[in-house]
Amino acid sequence: MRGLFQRFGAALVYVDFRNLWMANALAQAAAWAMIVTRGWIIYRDAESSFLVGVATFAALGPMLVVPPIIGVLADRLDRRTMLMTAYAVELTQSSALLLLASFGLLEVWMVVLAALVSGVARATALPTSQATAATLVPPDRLLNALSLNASTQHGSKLFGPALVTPLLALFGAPAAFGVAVALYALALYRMSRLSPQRVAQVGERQSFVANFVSGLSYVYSRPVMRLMLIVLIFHCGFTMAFESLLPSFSAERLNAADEGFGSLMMGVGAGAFVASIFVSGLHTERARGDALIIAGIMSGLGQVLLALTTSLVFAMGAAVIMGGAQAAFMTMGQAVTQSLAVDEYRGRVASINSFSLGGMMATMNLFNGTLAEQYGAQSLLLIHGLIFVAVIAITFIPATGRQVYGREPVAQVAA
Amino acid sequence: MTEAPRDPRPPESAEPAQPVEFTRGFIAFIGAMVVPAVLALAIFLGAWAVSGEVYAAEAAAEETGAAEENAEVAGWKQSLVGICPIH
Repeated sequence: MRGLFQRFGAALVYVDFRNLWMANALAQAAAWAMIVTRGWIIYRDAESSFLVGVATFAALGPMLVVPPIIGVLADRLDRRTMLMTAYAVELTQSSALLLLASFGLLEVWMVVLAALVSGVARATALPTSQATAATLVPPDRLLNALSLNASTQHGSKLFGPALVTPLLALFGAPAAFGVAVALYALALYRMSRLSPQRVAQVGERQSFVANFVSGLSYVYSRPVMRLMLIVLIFHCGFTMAFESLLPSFSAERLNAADEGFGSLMMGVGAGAFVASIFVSGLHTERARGDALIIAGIMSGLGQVLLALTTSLVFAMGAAVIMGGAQAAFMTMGQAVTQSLAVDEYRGRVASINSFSLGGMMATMNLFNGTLAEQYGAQSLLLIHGLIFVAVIAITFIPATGRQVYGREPVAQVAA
Repeated sequence: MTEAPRDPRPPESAEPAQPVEFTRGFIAFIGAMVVPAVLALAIFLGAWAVSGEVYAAEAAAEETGAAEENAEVAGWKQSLVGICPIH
């Protein structure tokens, strides 16, 4: 048991990281509990899938706008203060919804507004937390720390909704909001236990735009970090933008229009959760490099496998492989970029990650939904999966690619 | 329990800031990072802005029994709403 903890929970021996990790886990579970509860209320009161979509976009859309600003702030201000502020905002908006729901005053527009506020707070917390985690553990525990952080994101998609779904059915929205409030309060408390973080002094006299551009320049001038980010963008575009394809794939290929989409998403979530824990057990550069190649290839092939299946059971198996490989690849990719960044730029590197990867996923999801009507979801899944396998093969050829995949040491570049 | 380690490298504040050079490669890199997010946002906001007009035209076309494609609204507006899955 002790051996397992040392292998998979190595970063948790550091008090500050443990506090950060617990705060993240609690807040992420609360966020997903809120997403489910908001959707439930809107659909019950307005009977509108469109409004549920608007609320979900309001919650996730800020990830496309906020990170560039937050990345700069995270390199200028105390990151603990930023995280505490984000969690305090989450606690306030969920408490307001709890009170309004308890007194029967809650209206749909209030829920949508709260979703937007929550989205901004979450878009603040995620990159700031990633940048903070990288400073709380020594470099050889970084992959473990980021994997544990990632496991909270994937695990929360299972645990958050699981906590509130029975409460919604039995006691209604106030009980579900109550759970979210309690989780946010605990998250805020754990975050308050984190030591104040060192604040970088460089760049304070520059404008936000100049600071952000210098972050982009920093990433661009580091070939390994740059190539890793480009591969991650391809990964998000060709293997992770599948949500808009699954409903029509389930209906047309699996003949499971009703239960297919939900079952496949559960498979993806379960695979992601297991993989992020598995990755946390990797401790050497070589092991990380091997796993990065395997995860990259499996991410593409998992999608090809899914495209070729015709039964829901096999499709769920392919979804588990796909979800696991995707989560492992993203976690290790982000660990590579963070391990190469100096502290002064970590906030911006994390925000560039969130911003560019989230943007690519959103855009490809938009186009995939349209292209699927013309070419069929199965064809797109198949072609996109094969394209990404080719990307992994091509990027392995240059020396920089071999450095990305841990085959050659990374040359030091002056900051 | 173990104390949180500090970054063993020298403080980055002591390192000189590097001037940003806008080479063609760097501009293309910025484009690759920024364009997808801007595009996603533009599609959503654009679809939101024109969806009322498109839906109204479609409803009117249905009432008169005409095909939806004949609804009198610009094709790009219909495409924009068609691309955005939320609209």
